[in-house]
Amino acid sequence: MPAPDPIPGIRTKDRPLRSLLLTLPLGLILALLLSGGANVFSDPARRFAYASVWVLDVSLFFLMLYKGRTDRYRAVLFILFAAALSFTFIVHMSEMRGRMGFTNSDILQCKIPFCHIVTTMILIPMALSRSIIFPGSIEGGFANISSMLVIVGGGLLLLGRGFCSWGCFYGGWDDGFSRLRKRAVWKKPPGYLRWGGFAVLLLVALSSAATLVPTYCDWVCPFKAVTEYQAVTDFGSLARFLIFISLFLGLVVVLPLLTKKRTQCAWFCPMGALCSLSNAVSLHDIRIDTERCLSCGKCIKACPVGALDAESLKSGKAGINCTKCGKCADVCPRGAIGYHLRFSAVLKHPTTQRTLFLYAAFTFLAVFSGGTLQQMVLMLLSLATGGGLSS
Amino acid sequence: MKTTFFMRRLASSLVYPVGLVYVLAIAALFPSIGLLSHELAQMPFMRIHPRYSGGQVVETIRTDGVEWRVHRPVFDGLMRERGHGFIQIDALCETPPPSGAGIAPDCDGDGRPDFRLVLPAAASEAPKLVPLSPLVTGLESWADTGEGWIARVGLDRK
Repeated sequence: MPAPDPIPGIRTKDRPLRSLLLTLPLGLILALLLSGGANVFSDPARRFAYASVWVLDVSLFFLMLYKGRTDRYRAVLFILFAAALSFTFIVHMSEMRGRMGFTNSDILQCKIPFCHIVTTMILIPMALSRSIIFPGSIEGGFANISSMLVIVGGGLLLLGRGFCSWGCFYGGWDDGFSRLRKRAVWKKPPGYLRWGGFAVLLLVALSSAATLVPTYCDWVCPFKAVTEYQAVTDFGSLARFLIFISLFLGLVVVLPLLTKKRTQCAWFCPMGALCSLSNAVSLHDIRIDTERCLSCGKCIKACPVGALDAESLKSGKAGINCTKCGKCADVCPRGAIGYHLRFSAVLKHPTTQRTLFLYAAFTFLAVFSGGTLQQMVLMLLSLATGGGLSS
Repeated sequence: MKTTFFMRRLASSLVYPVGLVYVLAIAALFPSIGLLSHELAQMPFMRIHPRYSGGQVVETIRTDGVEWRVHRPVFDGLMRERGHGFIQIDALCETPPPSGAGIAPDCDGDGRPDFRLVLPAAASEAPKLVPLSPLVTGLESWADTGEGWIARVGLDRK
């Protein structure tokens, strides 16, 4: 029996002119938004940083449309974002404080930058005590709580758990390490591990409410190793530092290398679990055309967070923990998997449905990462021209 | 039956414009962050828990070249007050502070000071605490802020 034609627009090449025309509006949006309201034309270095990030973003989006593949080009920007954020954050903090670690003085003055993962720990105390259990700044200052909550809220509302593949500035770390080996060494991690994030979410939400301390940040966040941590001054802070480093090496470096999965995001991240809940009401999801699907299992093997299994292939729906990275659609030999708009027919207008998702998700990623990437380019330029590292 | 079919068709055709609205919403999200975060910051639940902020300043005293800010005693828990808490004292001064500069606040409102806090001679040293009441449990934490000191004195509730 001859194989059916692949669904147009899912993974086959698109016409270059059409892809170019569809890229133009995004190019205009990014030209406006990448400046972030600042005068980027004030000096040659800023102009170069702005132009190089714009060219990178627009090229990646064009390739996504033209080549019909999503994850390959998304990952480039996503991984760069994670590396650039850690790099610029450490330089910025070292400049502000003279060191990477924060001290008791920073805590007592509420000067700790807020990150989206803390959201999971502040919700119960916020509801019950009408206050936020975090030593940060509500408004103003670096990485303040209100701005971060607006970005996270907007991301969750509009992308669902797509935030984990298109918005999270830590996810690129284990995404990157999960791609370094060609084959997985640990081929079939137990399926129940994908519920690990929910268990961690429950534990940290309850323990934080009981102790009024953001427990995950205080004790077990692996990304402290690549951003900031409490300066080592006693046995307690030394123990924490060692835990952060060990968890980073274990969950973000070694396990992704062995399994080719995003193990930290899939098994341990409470924010990932919270984002999964928002998938239930998200407009965009991933659907499988069960009539076209051969059940070859390539998508199950490729899914970095274990959102697909044999049951998904039968039901035609990805699991609630799907991060909408598009890897499954990229590897499907029959073009039977694709982005889908809720309430519409499955893969009826696949190109339109995919393009609408890519516009939303890529704009989020490109604008959110834009400032950080420009800052990194500026720092590297300054370093290359003998000006040293400075933000 | 007909209504369900009609509703499905309607939802199916409306979802594309909604998808477009999502794109516009994301494009509008970032330029509006300043405005949206300012609005969010005005919400009643958007305040730092007193355990971290130190609670409201209830008294400001200027003496010996030091501005002392005395916060209210903090016993706040998740839903009710806890048995143990602290009181935060901020001292703003130029370093080194005047020799022997100190403050003796009344935490429980009985008209008598509960402890005396004396600033150290050097920034790297901890302020000296002299408990004057059994409710005072010790100096819980302190920090040199570059503009003075912040000290938290542990307190038990009456």
